[in-house]
Amino acid sequence: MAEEEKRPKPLPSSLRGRRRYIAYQVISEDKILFSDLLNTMWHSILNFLGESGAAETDLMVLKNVYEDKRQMGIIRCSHLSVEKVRAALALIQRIGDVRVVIKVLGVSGTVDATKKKFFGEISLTEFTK
Amino acid sequence: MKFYDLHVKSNLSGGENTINELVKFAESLGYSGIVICERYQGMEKLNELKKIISDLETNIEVYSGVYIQAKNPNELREIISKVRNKVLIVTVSGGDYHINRDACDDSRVDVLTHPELGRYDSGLDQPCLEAAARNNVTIEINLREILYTFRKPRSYVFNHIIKNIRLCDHFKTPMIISSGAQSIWDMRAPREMVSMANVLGLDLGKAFAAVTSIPQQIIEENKKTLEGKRITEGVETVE
Repeated sequence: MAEEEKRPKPLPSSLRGRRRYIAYQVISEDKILFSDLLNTMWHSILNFLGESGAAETDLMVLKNVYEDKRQMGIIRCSHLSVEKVRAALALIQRIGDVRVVIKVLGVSGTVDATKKKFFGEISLTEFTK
Repeated sequence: MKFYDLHVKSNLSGGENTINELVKFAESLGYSGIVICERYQGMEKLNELKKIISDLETNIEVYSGVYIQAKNPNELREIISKVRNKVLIVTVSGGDYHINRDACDDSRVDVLTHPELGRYDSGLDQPCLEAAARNNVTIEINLREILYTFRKPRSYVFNHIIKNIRLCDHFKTPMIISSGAQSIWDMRAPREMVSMANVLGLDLGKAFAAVTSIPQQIIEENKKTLEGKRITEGVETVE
């Protein structure tokens, strides 16, 4: 109960910001760490859009859905800033000393749909159909 | 939708990767065709490039092109007259105002790349852009120029490209976006190039056209000219 009180109540869906989830894949010379990728992404976005621009994107790089093996992950941003985020990702050349290309696989409206569409994830309910 | 990159350099003229590697990577990024644009170093090199391309076995279209870096307009005209009937795409490296102006005035030129390179202005003015629109010379946004500059110089490059986009929009001059890649790591997926152009001020529809319909049109028209089917603008032999 005490834990619940720390958080504000969730807003009604009409007041929440509209979000998009961008699925990406990192093509690299060598294997890369997620922490380095995260730093590089923020660095690129801050350089390209500035602090106020980055704030408007409502950006979040999701950590728990990152697939280390295939180097695929998801970025959350506002629906108006998808193009800006894609452009900022295109400007990433290196992560540390490793040369990379970040390829956007696609954009979707929810995390689940993104996983299904671009990561090839299948849920158990689909077998019952 | 077919995506094209009209400016990629291989190891034949200072690039890092072979044509085969570039083609495979372009295919994985989703391109339908690329043009290997080599720096002009004589006719032997061009023939070598054409031979390598004809021997390739790929699922995407690969064409030969030439990238001309001329010191003055006379040299530029001389090189264009030598290569025009040999390769599909003739790209002129901009930067010098006289070269930019001459390239825009010459209907044999297909693409004028980075007209703002190394300049304190955008490198194009009203006469240039009107001539380019009249002669069907396409102005190229070069992604490599953006990738290899940082902070203040990059903001200047952005500023010049934004100005050129605005001017091209006004004078109805065609624009394309190319990677200008010298290795596979400089290449970006076509949709990312569209996003970059869109953020720099090109409408989304026009940004798509800059990697799809405009390059495709240039390739198809030049193919007809090289095969001898197209005599001049609006005159073609139909079988």
